[in-house]
Amino acid sequence: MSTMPDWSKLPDDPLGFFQLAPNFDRKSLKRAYGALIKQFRPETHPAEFQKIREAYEVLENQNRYGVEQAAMSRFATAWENSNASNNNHGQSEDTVRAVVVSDFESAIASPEATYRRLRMKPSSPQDYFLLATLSDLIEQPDKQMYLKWIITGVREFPRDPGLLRLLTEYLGAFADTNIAFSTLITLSKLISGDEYLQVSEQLWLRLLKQVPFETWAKALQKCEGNLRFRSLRPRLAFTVAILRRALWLAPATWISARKRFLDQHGSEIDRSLDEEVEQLSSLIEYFSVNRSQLMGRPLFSTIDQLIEIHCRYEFEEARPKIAALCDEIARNSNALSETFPTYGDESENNTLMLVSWIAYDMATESGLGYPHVEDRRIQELADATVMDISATIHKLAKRLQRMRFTQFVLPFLVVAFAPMILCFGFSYWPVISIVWFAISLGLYFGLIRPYWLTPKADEKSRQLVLQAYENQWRPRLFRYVQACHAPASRSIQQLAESGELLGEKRLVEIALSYAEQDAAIQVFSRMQLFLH
Amino acid sequence: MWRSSDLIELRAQQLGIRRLDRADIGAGAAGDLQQLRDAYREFLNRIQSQFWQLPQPVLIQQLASINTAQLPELVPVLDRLKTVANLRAEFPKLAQESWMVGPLFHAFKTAVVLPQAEAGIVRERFTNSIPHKKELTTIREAVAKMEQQYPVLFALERNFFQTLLKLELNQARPLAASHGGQAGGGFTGYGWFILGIIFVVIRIAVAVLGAKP
Repeated sequence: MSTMPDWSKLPDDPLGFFQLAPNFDRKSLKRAYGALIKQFRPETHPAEFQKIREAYEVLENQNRYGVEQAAMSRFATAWENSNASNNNHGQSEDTVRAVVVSDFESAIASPEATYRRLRMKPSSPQDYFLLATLSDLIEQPDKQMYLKWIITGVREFPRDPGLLRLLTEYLGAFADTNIAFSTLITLSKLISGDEYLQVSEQLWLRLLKQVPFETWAKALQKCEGNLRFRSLRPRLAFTVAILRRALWLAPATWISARKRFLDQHGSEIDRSLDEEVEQLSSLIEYFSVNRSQLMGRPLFSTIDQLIEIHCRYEFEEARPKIAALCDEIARNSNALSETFPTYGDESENNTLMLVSWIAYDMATESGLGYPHVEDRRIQELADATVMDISATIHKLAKRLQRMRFTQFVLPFLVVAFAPMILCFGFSYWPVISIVWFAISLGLYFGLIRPYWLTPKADEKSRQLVLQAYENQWRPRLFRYVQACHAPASRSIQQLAESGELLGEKRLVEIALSYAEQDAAIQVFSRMQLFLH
Repeated sequence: MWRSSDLIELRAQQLGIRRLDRADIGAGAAGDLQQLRDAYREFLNRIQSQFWQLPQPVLIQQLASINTAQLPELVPVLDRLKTVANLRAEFPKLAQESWMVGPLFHAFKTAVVLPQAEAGIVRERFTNSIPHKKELTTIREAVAKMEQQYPVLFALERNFFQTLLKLELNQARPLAASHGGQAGGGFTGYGWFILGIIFVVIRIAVAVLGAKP
């Protein structure tokens, strides 16, 4: 992406603005969004941020609901050439455009007269938009008239992309909670399920935070009863979106019923929804199983709050709380290490994967970047780390050597020479001893060593190396990551370079091979972004 | 019709209607916010570098004057600085404790107020400067006493202190050492084995020779 975005592409061409291919996926959208947010952060460029955010939300929503490029173009060009198809009077497109333009001009010149005239016989989606806009002027005390006119327009033109987008924006941002449920129920009778879920998703999610879950679920059930679907995709996307937010509020039966629906149609989930479903499965696993297993660990409460807030709230509204929670995690390498030991079980691994996802999302969404740290400083830290790690590896090598001697050599000596000592003094003892020695030698090298001692010693060596990683290398790497305050790729690269320069390349590679599989270190490294 | 959000937003602005889905981030005030952010960053940096020179009331007043409503990511660092400012009288007392180790106190006092990128370097330099196990033991004792007698100060750099308590000092840093030890030799390798065989062979030879009439 170029350094300066092409603002002229907004709002009509968000794909071009983000420089995305028509078949873009969510990851590339997030990357493009994150790169722009780094430049235009909300606290420094609020107007630009707002535009970028809106374009992102539109594309993200379309992508989740599997809206194809052709349909996206229809949204983008709505009302530019749809008049001919919408009007029933057989007028040419130019004539209709002239009529529409004159309607807008007359609305500016004499709003009341235009409002009264259009009200008698609205004939196009634009008429309903004009009526809605003029109602704010003419019927000032009733602010809901705007919505009523848009809904009436949708009743007449249920698949008009222009009215549907207006409705989506209005419901998501401005629909009053008091009339929300009645509006949602009315709409569920007017438009098909495919459009309905996409138009109303934001409002449902907002209501979930504002009203008791039972009220919300009852209204949703009622609306779903009215809906007729043309395809399965919108239902899958909607289910994923609401399930993620409802986990902390809904009873287990409600959750499992919705999850069952997703499982039943797992084969129909495509690439753009795949990652969402995978995250959701991890979340459900965390919520129903891992959470109780991790309770009582040092950072459990912090991590639990972070996961909950990330699932239930939009990033912008949760930013202060998220900043505080990330600060706490980023300062506590020891607590994080205790919460997630190296030998993690499934609960720990799943939770770490979730936290890693969250940290990535948050870093991308907030456009945070590391401050500049001089190469010399990182090199100094890397050199010290390599020296410490290599010292412990040398100690470990000696320990392994001792272990191999006691495991391999001593048993052989005992088995081979014990009869010799026991038979000492008896007749033919040298012959017995030599025969026994030869038999023991064969047994030892043919059977005992390869089939019993070697696997046992290897297992023991593996345990010792893991123990060394857990007790020595891991704390040292945590310290290094915290002190570097740089991206993981840069600090690891520097560690490898220092290892090579100091003649300890192989040893550093061993330690790093363990570190690469240690999700706790990776999470910790990413969390450093949130420290100031 | 991608402009639908602009239309809806414009209507809300004209009618003074507040968005219900997210907080208004104050679009249109970009210049002001940019200046505010730059000013706060600079201000914070100045406070962090002069933290121990500024009089306590001035320090507290300056920290309280920063409005973080629009810069939520600064809240944790500000809260931390405010806590340290309120506890500033405790620091000279801690320094005068007979068990306190000078370099440890200096590292703590410096790291606790610095930005993270610099604080990390201070902590690491201190940890790497511990020369012998004897010094490490003294430091551990000081940390343990600090945890008992100054728990609030201890909590400010809990992770650093806990790291020191768990630290295993690697005095021998055999950077240039060869890895020959691993290949064998010495009594930790196969030396014992070879010695044992020699011993047994000699013993058998002596026995056989001694048994001859």
